Amino acid sequence: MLWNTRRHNLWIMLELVVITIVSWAIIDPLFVLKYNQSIPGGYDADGLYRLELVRNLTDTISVPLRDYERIMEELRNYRDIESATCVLRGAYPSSPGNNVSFVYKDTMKVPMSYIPFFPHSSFFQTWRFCSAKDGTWETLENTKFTSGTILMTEDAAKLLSNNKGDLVGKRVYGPDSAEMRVVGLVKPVKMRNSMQPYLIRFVPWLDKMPDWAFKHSVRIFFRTKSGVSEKHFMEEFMPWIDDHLVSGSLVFSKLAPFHLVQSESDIQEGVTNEIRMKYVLAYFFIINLLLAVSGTFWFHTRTRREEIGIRLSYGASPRGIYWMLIREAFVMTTVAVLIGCFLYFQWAYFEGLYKLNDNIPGNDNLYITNYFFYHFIIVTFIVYVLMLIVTWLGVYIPAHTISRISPVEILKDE
Amino acid sequence: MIKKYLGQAIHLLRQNPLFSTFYIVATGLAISMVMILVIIYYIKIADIYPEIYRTRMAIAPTAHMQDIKDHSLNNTWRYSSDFIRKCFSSLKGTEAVSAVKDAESWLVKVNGVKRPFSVWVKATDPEFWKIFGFSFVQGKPFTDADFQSGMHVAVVSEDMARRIFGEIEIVGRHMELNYVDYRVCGVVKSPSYVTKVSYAEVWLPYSSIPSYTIQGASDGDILGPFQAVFLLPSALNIREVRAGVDEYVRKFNEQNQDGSFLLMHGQPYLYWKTLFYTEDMKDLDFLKIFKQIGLWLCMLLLVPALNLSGMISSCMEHRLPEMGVRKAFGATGKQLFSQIMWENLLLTCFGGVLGLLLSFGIILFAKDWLLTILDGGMQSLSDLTQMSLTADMLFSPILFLVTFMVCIVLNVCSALIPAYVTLKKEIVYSLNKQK
Repeated sequence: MLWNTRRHNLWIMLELVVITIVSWAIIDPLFVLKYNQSIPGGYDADGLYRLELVRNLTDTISVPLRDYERIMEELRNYRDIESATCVLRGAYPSSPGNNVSFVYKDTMKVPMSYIPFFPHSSFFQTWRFCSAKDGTWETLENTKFTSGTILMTEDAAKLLSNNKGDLVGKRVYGPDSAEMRVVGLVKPVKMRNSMQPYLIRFVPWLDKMPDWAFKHSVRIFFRTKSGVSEKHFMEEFMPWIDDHLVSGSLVFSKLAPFHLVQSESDIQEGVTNEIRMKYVLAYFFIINLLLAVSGTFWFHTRTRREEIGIRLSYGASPRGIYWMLIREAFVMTTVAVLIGCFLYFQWAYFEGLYKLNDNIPGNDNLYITNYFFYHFIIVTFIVYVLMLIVTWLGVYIPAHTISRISPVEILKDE
Repeated sequence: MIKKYLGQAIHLLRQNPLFSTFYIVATGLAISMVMILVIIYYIKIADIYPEIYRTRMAIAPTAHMQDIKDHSLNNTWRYSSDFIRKCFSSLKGTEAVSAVKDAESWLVKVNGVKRPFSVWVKATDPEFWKIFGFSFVQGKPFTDADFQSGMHVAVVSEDMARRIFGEIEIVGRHMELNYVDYRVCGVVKSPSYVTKVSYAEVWLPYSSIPSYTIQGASDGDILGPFQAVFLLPSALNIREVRAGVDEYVRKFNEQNQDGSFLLMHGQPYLYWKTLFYTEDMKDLDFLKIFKQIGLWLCMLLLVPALNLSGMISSCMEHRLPEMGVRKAFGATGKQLFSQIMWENLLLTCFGGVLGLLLSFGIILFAKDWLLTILDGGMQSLSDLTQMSLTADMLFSPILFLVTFMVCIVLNVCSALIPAYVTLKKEIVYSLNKQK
């Protein structure tokens, strides 16, 4: 039947093929970004806040280190705050900027990000980075750190040990051949919300807060107690800031719940604009497809009134007519998707599928989007389902309308 | 004759309301998408307050230093004020050259309020006010003397003046920026964030900030936090300026044999070219950029064109008997083709008007994120950042002309093949189609 009416269906088929190709180009990035966002972050963003303090250069009397220690104690004693910690060198998940250096073991050379932290300062309690051994932050918080010891994320250890993963107690070498001993493994951590986890080493800072840390701004992270709502906390905490953080050598600059810090990071990485752009294009092409399918099928059903009338008079049910038209649309969509995906495959095979950033220090073997075959199949399936849904929506009204008309009426007109 | 075709087209429009509605809506949608893209680029390129000289502005945005021995070691940032003064300020073929730092968030303290709030501050020099056409509602810009003495003076936008002081007559009053006292010397009409190069809420001389005037942040006095903005007598002067820059950089690299050399990658660029500047360590590849934009424009027009072609093709099937009768009575293929194209052009123009209005509506409704959607990664904006639109950004003869051209292109793309295929059929075949 479709082959007999191929001339009528030529335009709609062409459009279905083109929209398949375009849908692929739009859905591929959305799939990768959403998949990356669904990977656990390795920390708990709920109840986590970032407090930024700036150096007040006009205050030459106060000592920044003392002000810092006072502020940290006051924060830890605040009634709704469970724990507080500080970060050094601006290295934390969703921070702007990157630092990457190589770590070596035997013949393996792996790029890793680096997060310095103060041991036993509630760093793991505040962030909820968990041990790969038993899944708790307490294990990491209670680990003994000495000079030259580090923690490493589990995926980094796997890569460095050639997938054996048993690096605890073993030695690895950093930049300038600095020897480091791995004393524990941490569950994978995402440094960017929309990227896959980075390979990270956590390096303990065994001295007190250095003077250079107070040069520009200090970033403190704290966690509120369980059950404290964000709205309530912000309303109560801001007046506290007005009393405690507006004088001295370190003064208030910004306070943000961590989910806003993640949103800021997504904006800076261009992820937010990428997702918005793809959604806008997706809606545009889907609406075009809907109009094309509706318009074309509306005309076709008008042309086939006589045929439909004869079928109805010979005993075909309206439901049967409806499903006949829907099946025709689905067959056309299936053929168009196969052709479109085949054409896109030719391009994707040489150019590669979508990746947000090629330069991240990550373990590519762990995530499905890094395997060409699986990635291609999944996105093809999503495109196919989407096209079927849109086609069904476009055909529904013309098919439903023509199937309900009385055969007497049709045949009388014809 | 054309009047007759248009009359017939209106009659057909009334006869087939559903087809006409589909056609106009599909056309409107296609044109609205293309026009949104065009409007966004127009706003970024056209002369809009305060960047009223964009057509003769040039920018050198980033410096790229590469190790002489190991080319895999690279440093990129912006330029130091010292380098801008030595290399760019003395060039022939420029009217003004300014060092402009990216706007950053500072704290401002308001009397009677304990907690400071954030404002966008831009550090620059007196030449900035010659390059950008800011309207001063009070006072005047900081002068060369203020700049040379490192005076703590500031120009404030009208909106920020009202927010800090509650009024705009504030010249001579003082405020604390990052806990440092500044005197207000001028108040300007508030710009919109769409004019990103000049946008801020407070402008200061960078000489008032000691860390910005350190000679050479790194890499042989080149790298620093400023981009160089040029005002040229005309866009054609860019070649002379570029030649001057290349000569200076060549001499600099010859003298600097044991460190890094500076790669300019064709800078400075005319303002419109900086829209496509994304990679600090590569030359601008226009072929690649236009291919990408061209591909997306093609898709935005091709898909609706196929859509409309399908509809026109189906409609033409029903009009085959009419065409047959008219051919039998002596109408030529050219006359019939012309009629079909004019009829479709009328519908396309209706769709074009709908599309343009829709695009204005979408841009007004979603301006907070839509106008920066092509910017890739960017700074996170506060809720108070002005993303205002003015009439001159939307109601421009160029935009209307572009809309009309897009209508014509869409009309030709969608109607050409169905009309040609239909009119190729013989009279007898066409007449036999009638039942």
